[in-house]
Amino acid sequence: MEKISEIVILGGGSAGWITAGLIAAQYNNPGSKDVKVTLIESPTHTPIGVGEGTWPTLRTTLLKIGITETQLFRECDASFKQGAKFAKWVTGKDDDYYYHPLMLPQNFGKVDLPVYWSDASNNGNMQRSFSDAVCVQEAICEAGLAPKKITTAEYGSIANYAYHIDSAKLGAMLQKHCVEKLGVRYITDDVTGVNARENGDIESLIFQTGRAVQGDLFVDCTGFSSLLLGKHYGVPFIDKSDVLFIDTAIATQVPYESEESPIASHTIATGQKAGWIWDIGLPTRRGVGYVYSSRHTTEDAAMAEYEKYIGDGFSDLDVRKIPITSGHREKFWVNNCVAVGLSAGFLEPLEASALVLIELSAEFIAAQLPPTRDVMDITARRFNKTFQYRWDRIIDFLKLHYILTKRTDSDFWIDNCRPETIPQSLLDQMELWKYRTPNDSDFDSTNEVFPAASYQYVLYGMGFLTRPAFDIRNDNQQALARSTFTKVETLKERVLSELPAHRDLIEKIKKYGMQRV
Amino acid sequence: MPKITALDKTVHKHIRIDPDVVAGLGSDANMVPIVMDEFLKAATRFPIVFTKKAETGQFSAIALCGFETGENLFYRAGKWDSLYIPLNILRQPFFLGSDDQAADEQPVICLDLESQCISDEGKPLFTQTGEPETYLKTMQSVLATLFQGEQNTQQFIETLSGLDLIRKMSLDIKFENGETLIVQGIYTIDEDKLNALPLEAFSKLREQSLLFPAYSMIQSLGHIHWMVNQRNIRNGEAKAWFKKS
Repeated sequence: MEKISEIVILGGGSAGWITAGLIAAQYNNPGSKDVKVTLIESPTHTPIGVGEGTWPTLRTTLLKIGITETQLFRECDASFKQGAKFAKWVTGKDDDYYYHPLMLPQNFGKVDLPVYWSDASNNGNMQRSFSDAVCVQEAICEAGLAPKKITTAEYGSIANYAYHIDSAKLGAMLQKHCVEKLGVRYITDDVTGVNARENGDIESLIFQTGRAVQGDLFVDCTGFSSLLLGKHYGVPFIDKSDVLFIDTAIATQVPYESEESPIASHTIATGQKAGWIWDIGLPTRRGVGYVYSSRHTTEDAAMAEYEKYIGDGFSDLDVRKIPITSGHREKFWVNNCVAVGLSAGFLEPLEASALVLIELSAEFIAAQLPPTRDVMDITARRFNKTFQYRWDRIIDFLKLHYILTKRTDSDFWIDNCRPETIPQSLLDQMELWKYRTPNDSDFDSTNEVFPAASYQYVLYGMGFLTRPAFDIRNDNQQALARSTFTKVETLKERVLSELPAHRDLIEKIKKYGMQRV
Repeated sequence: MPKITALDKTVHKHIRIDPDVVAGLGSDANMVPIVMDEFLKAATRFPIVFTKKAETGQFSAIALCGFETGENLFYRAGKWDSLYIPLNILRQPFFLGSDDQAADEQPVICLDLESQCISDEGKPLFTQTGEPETYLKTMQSVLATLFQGEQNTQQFIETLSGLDLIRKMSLDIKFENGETLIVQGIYTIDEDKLNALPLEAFSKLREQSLLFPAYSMIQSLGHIHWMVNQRNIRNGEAKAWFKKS
């Protein structure tokens, strides 16, 4: 029985270092040297940086790896992210926006709030949008406040949150931590070939310098080039551009007017003619990018929209163009090789799914690390099944953002609503949600990337109408709904008075640090 | 409105301080900041815990005097119901501040000229020739203890925090009259973790003379029971008073 002990990760960047960190933190602790983690990075290839948006899962991930939250703010130019504001996705007018906050609706699962919110809106008893009526977070974001206080413990929250980060800095911080604290072996070299075993497993990787690195499990974190899974094993790429049209990104960094300018504590995603613009506030600068479908516009027209969004000073900015293809590999784990990150696939940056998929993949590998080669095929089958499901659900959820639009000002929006571009699984859900609101039983997994609450925020934020087929309304539920809406308003008043301004908190964190408890 | 100024032997030579008024301050203080150097004495009467400063989130040590803002259970009938009164009460109306005019960063003694402790009946601060009187000498010593003690306390806290020995406390109290209260925002030393420290780290605490203050803090938590009892007694008295009227 061949024990798994050498794990070789090919490629640095967020994917490589998060995977190395999670595995090493779990198995590589002093005293037990069962598992050795080696990360090999090309000295010539720079990681693309998967973006700046994260999910609240990153808090748990960093805690597991052993990074303090104070460190994250001091070293990664981090800010808080409390969800996303979608502007101009429905009508395209100036007053058109809705929020997808990171907190669940108040009393979620206890009362079917969308039904009562909709009733109250129709009766004229409700002036608030869905997200603003069921959750305090939109109000916090609109007021430019942080989700916690300086007295709140590390990774603790008053309102749920993730981060916006400089991903290059995150990679550098994780690298230092993995090497210095977790005993990860780090080699810089360019891979030139693969030595295969008879059964097709990778025995070792061959490098430019002539060295060969042996391993029991190889993790492919080589980004879009997908050197092991794509090139060596030839696992086909499943193109999803028939569902998600976006294929081009133009990106830049925009300086703040002054060092005191407020920082948005949410991602702002603003609909354009052929895609949307992301706007992410880090403490030192904003990251602004336009992702669009080149089948629906020209580069010049896109650039003109982009310039209009950014405004003064655009001509001084350095704009980077990045081609993207939405899709994923047919399988993610083959033989003794598993792909994590862009080598496994990529979807457009909407809802920041890239980093969370890295975390989920690395977490899965760490939690289910096959002890011997004999059982690895079982783990591989499970991994492939789980992640096939997750990619599908994410694709459904991203597509959902496009199909409820009322915009007809360009073919991009019109084409997005064509049923033949919508996955059958999503069409089925939409049919059912006409008669009842999304709930957790709509999904297979207990560990959904996007839970039912997220679907509710997008559906009712975009004006979708659910007409309950069975009249589930009753006095108790009615009373609970009413008291829930009141509770949200009371909580709102409290958090708005106690939470600090976003930038002020970040400055305090850098200066004083946060306590562990 | 406080009127803060640096103490000056010429300008303030006629000022007198009434120690009885000073010892009567703090009737509504539910937390009084204390320093490590007074833990030994304070721990015989008060629960000593950590709280976070609202502005910085940094820990500081306090004597817990009440469960709610405005409540001091160690204060009764116009004075402290304790042989030991924390130095941060006794130092008043003086405190150490920095003098903007001075070239060096040496702290100077400041006072609040609007303080109710200033009284013609009180103790003089200076002799005829401008030398410090006994009372002022005592205050200088108190302020020096607080100044050094503040640094010692910070070092104590940093050491504990570095060893991950500080834990959150949540008091969930039910009083005899049925009233319930959850006290949050206080922290103490994790006794289990302290006892489980590797010998090397434990010995280092001993060498730094930090073991004694640590155990004093843990021991002092027993006074919380006295506080609950005191609150029950007061609730009873309040009920009796309501009955009478």
